[in-house]
Amino acid sequence: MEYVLKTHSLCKQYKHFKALNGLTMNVPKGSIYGFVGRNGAGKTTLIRLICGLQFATSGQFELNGVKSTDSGIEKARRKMGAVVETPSLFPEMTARENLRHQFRLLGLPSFDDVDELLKLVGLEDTGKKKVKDFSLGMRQRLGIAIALCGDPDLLILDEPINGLDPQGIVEMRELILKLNRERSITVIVSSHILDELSKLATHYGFIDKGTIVREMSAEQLEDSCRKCVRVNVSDAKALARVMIRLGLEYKMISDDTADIFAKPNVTELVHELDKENCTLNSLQEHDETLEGFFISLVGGDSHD
Amino acid sequence: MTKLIRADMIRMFKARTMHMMMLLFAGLMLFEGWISSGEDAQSGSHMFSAIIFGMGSMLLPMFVSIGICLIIGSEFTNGGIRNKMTVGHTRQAIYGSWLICSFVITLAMTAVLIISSFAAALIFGGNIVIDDISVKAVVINLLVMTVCDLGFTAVIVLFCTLFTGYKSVAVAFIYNEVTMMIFSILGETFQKSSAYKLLTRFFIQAQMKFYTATEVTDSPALTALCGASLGIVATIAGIVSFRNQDFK
Repeated sequence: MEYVLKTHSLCKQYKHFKALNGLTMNVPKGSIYGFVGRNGAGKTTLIRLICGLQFATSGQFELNGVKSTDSGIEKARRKMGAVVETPSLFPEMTARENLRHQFRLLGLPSFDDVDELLKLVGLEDTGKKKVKDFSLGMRQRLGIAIALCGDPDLLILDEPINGLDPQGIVEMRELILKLNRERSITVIVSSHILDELSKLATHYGFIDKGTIVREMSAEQLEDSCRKCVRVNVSDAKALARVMIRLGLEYKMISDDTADIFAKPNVTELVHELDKENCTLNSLQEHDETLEGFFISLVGGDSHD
Repeated sequence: MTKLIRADMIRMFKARTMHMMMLLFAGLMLFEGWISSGEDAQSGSHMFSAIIFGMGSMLLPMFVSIGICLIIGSEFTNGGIRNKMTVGHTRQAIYGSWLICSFVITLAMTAVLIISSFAAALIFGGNIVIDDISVKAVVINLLVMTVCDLGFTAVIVLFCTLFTGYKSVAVAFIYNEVTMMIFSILGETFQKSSAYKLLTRFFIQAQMKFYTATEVTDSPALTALCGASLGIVATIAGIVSFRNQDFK
């Protein structure tokens, strides 16, 4: 698999606080990488390191194959766009002027794409309205438009739906999906709003106390969080035979426990198990949410 | 770096802050002309000299520092610096661009000072009699003053990176006032000391009585060299600190 971003044991120590503690993660090309962690877990610190705003205490990262210690890292950043925390905008300027400023920073020869970018983020009708008069959602979208200047391959969005109203959240989700599907942009989205992230992400990285505790694809996560009936039996082999006979999808969890991914007829199940001399010890509906999965990964203790 | 300078320059000169600072500065120079015309009958030449090397040279560093701090400070408060770093501009280039743009602001303010002083002298003092002043003195003194102002500008850019955001406005203001105060106190006791005299050559705030329109200041090359060296030291310190700084 090809990776846009790889980090190796990244550490960032502030005076009395270790924000990143040997963080290793891999972001596959073309993915929407959901970067999940609670407040203070180290999400924004990592983004700041990647964007060059801060330096790692130890460890390194690779951006499109270029190591953070290489002299070419600044050049590699030109194919990257980011909105770190709040969008970086000049409030006295209009949306168009902000974009033109970014075009100049990138040394782009013409402003032809400004209109297209404004249209892409739905700000084409803002005219002479200054950014200071924009709503939060409009600012977020303009921030993304600025990050998209220069056709980046990688877009990093730090908590892009924070503070948005439901309509704004839907628009933001659609925009991110559109950028990923139509422009093949790899997107890293950091968030602690897991439900929203689950509608977007193709890959996940769960971060806690400055370390990635688990990386997985959306399919793997779906498997872990899939609605099922968890049964505990006396004979696993007998259960397997019954499942095949009844045509039910299942997965063995342990020697005596299995998840059945359907709603079985309980009477029929008990009857069939009985035929195999197998006892059904317990049966319960199992429905782990993304939140539940996350808490089971990082533990439910309160914030430090 | 040319991309950065171009973008910064356009933003700076389109900023309403800059227009306001320039207008206010020019207005104050004209006001000074109007005030002094009422006190006693001054010739245009004397008024020009009094404004440009008196009130003007005293207020110029203050206006320059406020303008620069507001413009660079906004990059930190609005996140403009993040956009620059994210798209791969090096820290040295960002600092260099700020420095060059700040120099241009200083030069533009100096031009405003010259034009407004001249205008005030013409409007409120009558004709400027060229025999009353020494063109050579005016030109050389203005050049030396400008070099020292540029050195001071480099110090202000250093402050903008050490005290990020709009904090630098307060720091620059305090620096200006305290320097002026210290030199005026020291001047009373050590006016004749050669060490004090040498020290005053580094700081524009200490040079209030250096310049007139009739006489070339003493050792103009040395003063310019001292002013420039302060700027060079501030720039080296600024780049070193900026390269290792963490930003949010």
